[in-house]
Amino acid sequence: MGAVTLENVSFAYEGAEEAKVLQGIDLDIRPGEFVSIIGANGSGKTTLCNAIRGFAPKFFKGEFAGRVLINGRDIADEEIGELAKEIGFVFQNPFTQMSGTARTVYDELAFGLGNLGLPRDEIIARVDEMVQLARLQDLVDRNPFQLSGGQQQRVALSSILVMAQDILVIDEPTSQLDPQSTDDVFELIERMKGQGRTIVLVEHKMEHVAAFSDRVVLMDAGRIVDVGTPREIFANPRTAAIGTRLPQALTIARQLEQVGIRFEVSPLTTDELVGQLEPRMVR
Amino acid sequence: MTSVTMAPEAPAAAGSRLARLHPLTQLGIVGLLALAALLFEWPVGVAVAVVSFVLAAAAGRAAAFFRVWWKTILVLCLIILVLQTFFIPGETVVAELGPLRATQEGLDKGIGFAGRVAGIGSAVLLLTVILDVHRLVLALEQRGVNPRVTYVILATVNIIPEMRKRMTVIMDAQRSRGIETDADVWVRARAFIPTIGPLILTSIVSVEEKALTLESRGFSIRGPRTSLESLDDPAGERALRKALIVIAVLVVVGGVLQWVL
Repeated sequence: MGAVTLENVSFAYEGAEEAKVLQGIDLDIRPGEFVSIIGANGSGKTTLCNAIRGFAPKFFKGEFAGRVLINGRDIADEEIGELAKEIGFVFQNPFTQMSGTARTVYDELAFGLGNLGLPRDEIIARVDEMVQLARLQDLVDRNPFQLSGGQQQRVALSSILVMAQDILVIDEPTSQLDPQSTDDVFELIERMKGQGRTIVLVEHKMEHVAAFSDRVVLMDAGRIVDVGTPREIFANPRTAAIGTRLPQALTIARQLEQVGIRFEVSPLTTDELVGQLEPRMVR
Repeated sequence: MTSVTMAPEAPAAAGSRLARLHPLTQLGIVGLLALAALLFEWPVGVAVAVVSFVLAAAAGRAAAFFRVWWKTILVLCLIILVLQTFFIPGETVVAELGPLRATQEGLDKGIGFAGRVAGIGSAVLLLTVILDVHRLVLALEQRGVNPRVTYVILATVNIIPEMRKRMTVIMDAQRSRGIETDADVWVRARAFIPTIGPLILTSIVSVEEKALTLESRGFSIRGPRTSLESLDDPAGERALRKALIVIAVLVVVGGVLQWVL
């Protein structure tokens, strides 16, 4: 049984004149799998995330067809709020992901657990653990609204992670962050992967997609056009042809190939690129 | 390894005894003061204003109270007094200023109205300087008020600095496009529309994302919630609130009798 299964899912936003944003999506994500969704802007990535979380069509109204199953259950029958017990959702804008009621980062982290009705001691234990894990010790007493964008996104991500859902949907969490904050956020995501959580990530930074993903889903015009390992997807010329940026290491390798330097395996990360070039270096 | 919890203690109850009172007791005191100012003649209103100032001083918030008081309540009362004095028609003219005539009847009405406004306004202002909204929300939640209601109260208070920050960003952006925002009143008025438009639009988008945030954090899950914080409500304060209710009833009865007799 898949952790997340989409069966022939299509969706068009209410009042929108353009074609369906999602068209005939079939996807099965196994428990513990890290799946990245890539594609050009407007290809339907965020809407796909919203469909998995149930926000489309329960929050964003529109014409929906198909089925979304979470741990084998059709979410059409579930309350949108109850899904928070099973699916964590983090989105792009760090500034709007603060609850608006907490006066400290500590309270912000505890907000979701309080809504779940967990015992006080358990909330404290979990928040304390998350503070250590996300290295938020210096921020716990700060007002969430007084933090930088990068700090807010770490807090937003931690506020979801502390709820310990099995499935995490993370939509472009680093699009507004500087490189250091991006690394901090991905360090957290990597830890969640290490804990065996199922992760669905939308991300434009292909180096991170290549480094972390078990599988990559390539989308174009509301459809899934390819699914495979990062190497399969990025090696496919179609990926670049539909406007998706390639990992920097692969772009450099392609340019080096034009001047006669061959690679046995297409490098997706800087480490892989250096690893293949190093033996050929003349010292 | 020993784990040291960073869980917060009970919400801010620092400061004077007045500031440490249960929020519902604070509401009761202020409500009673405002009620008295509303139902009785202007001397009571003035007395309520004085009491409010004394209580604010006792809470260590005299400066904060007075800073807002003179800019708002005092100015408002003076405007009321002047307008009533000069524009309420009457037979007894006490002064003339060009075509305007100040009448004794207008002056009496102005003093009565301004006295009430001073009392009610000062009581409300007292509340703003002694009441901790987080503690109030906690108190309401402990009494079973719907979390959606308490969320609206807290989010409304918290959104003000956020909006101010956003306004500054928008004004900076508009300045960079050549729109003047700092000059005389006319220039500021012209800058109002290009500033307020984006503020409203971004706020609408933010509301949508905020709703998603709340759903993601399980805000609409049915069932009991847990709060890390709890408020003490000593028996003495509960008794005090009951006494305040009795006094409020007496004040209402006294006020009605005063009109009837």
